[in-house]
Amino acid sequence: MRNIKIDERYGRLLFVEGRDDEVFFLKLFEHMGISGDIHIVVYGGKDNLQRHLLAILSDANYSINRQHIGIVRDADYNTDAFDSIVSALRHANEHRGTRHQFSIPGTAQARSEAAPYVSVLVLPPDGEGTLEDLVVDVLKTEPVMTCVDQYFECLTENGISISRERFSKSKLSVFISGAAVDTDYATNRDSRRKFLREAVAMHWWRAALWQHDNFRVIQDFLTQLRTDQPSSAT
Amino acid sequence: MYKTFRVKNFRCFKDLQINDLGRVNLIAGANNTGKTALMEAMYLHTRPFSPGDLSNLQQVRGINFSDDNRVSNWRQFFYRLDPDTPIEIEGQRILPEPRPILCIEELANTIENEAEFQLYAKNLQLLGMTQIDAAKAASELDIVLHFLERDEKTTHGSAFLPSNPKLPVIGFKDRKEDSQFFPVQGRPTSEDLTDKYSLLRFENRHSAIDSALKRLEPKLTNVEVLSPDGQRRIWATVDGVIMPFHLLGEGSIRFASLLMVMCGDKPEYLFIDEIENGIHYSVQQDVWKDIGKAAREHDIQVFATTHSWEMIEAAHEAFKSDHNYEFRFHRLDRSLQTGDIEAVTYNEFGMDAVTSISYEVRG
Repeated sequence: MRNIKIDERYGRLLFVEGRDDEVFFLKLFEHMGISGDIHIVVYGGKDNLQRHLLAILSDANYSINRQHIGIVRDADYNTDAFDSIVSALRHANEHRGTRHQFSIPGTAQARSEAAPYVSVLVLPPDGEGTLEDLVVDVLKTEPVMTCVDQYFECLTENGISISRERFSKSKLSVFISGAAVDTDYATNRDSRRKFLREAVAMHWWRAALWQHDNFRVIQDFLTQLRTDQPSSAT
Repeated sequence: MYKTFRVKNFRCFKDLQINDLGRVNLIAGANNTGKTALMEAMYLHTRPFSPGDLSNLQQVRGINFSDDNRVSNWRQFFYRLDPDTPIEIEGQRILPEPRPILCIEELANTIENEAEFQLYAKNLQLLGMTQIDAAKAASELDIVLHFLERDEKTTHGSAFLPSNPKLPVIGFKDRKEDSQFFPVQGRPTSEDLTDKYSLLRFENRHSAIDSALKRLEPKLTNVEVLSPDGQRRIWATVDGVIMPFHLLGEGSIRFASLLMVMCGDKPEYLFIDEIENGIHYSVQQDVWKDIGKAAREHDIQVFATTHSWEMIEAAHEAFKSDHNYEFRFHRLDRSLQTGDIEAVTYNEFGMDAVTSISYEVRG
């Protein structure tokens, strides 16, 4: 097994929670025409973020080519995601093995003051939830989503409850099945399916969907990460 | 025990500072980042009045060293082979004591350095050489090792290495010099191992060696010193067959030799180059536990180098299982900006982070 190696020559890093998010952002990079400008690091869940931050901070050449680090995570529920990320940054600073330090941003979406810059994006930016919530909301006007909504209403009426943590993920999986009902996908029983990454990779995903307001804040964040200019959202 | 260390103008180091040293230290880094050179510098600092070590270290690297090529060899210890800038090696230890600096500098001519020359001449006389010999030495004495205290700038003593092959290398032996260096290659002789094991056996201190060997070779049931052919040597019983100990694998012999030194000689400092050599991954944690135990019991500070991720992980796991984490991992990196070599140190928290996500730390 090869170890993780983040090349010290990468100037701009985007830390994302999982492989699903990685595919989502790679597709968005393509749409924005910025593929190759930002290197994605999958940190594998919020518990691993601090470990990854400490690891890159311990690279001797951390600050030489590094210009900007973006960190994205889900807002989730009953937690302050931004504070949690700031805490991970501070812990990494305390336990560093080199002279480097992360500069800490004051608020979400705003970059820190000192280079290499650090900025944080919590999704959704204005409440609880996950990236899947944003995607499901974008798809709400799609014809298939009408059927999905009716299906979930039916489940609720029959006493089958779905936790809020799983609601959008479940909805997205049903949506994808519906959108691909007459294809090989529908008969594929691969239980390792990752619905978010499949949603943005499917043939019916249109460039116009990226124009939705839900993705505006993400695109502003990426523009800031790529150019070091404060985003219009801040 | 060293807490920090600094090396200037030595081998590939322009100015390297390494902090937070532990009882057991593992050093990694890409090729040509100075892992062995760092241990050489430390080794010299622990034995400041043994100038002969310079030739030994060159020979360990496979470089021919003779009296006729002394100067050329000595200059290889200087950064960029340039003897105009003195080497400075400095270590801060845990106990409050002066911070001595080992300074190695080349003197163009000792006549211009009267004090040094007089000291060398005096020692030549003590060795029975005449005043004429001493005078002749004046123009030939090229390199002088100083041992200084940083604050007072007082010379504790000097060792002299003249470029003239007819003149002797003179060092002082007024300080305990207690460290050992295990190079990558070179087996200990059967006689040397037998002497060490016999003494440990006689003093009933051999159990750590026997247990460690049994972990490396589960079919080994007994180790003893015998002389069936008139020659006294160590024999091992493996799978019911009594055989000369030297027929065991390279890793077993190297590790046994290491533990015999730790438990028998009990040096203050131990340096091991490429510690992973010959050690199967399945016993690496045990090897570290044995090294940690011996280091603690006999108050030894250990420095080792490695290229092996498994060995790094095994060390972290072995020391993590102790309530007192006495391990530090150090990586040597070349700065992309200056080209100089820098050290990064990982404590338990840092090692937990990088091993749990399999982050590459070998440079």
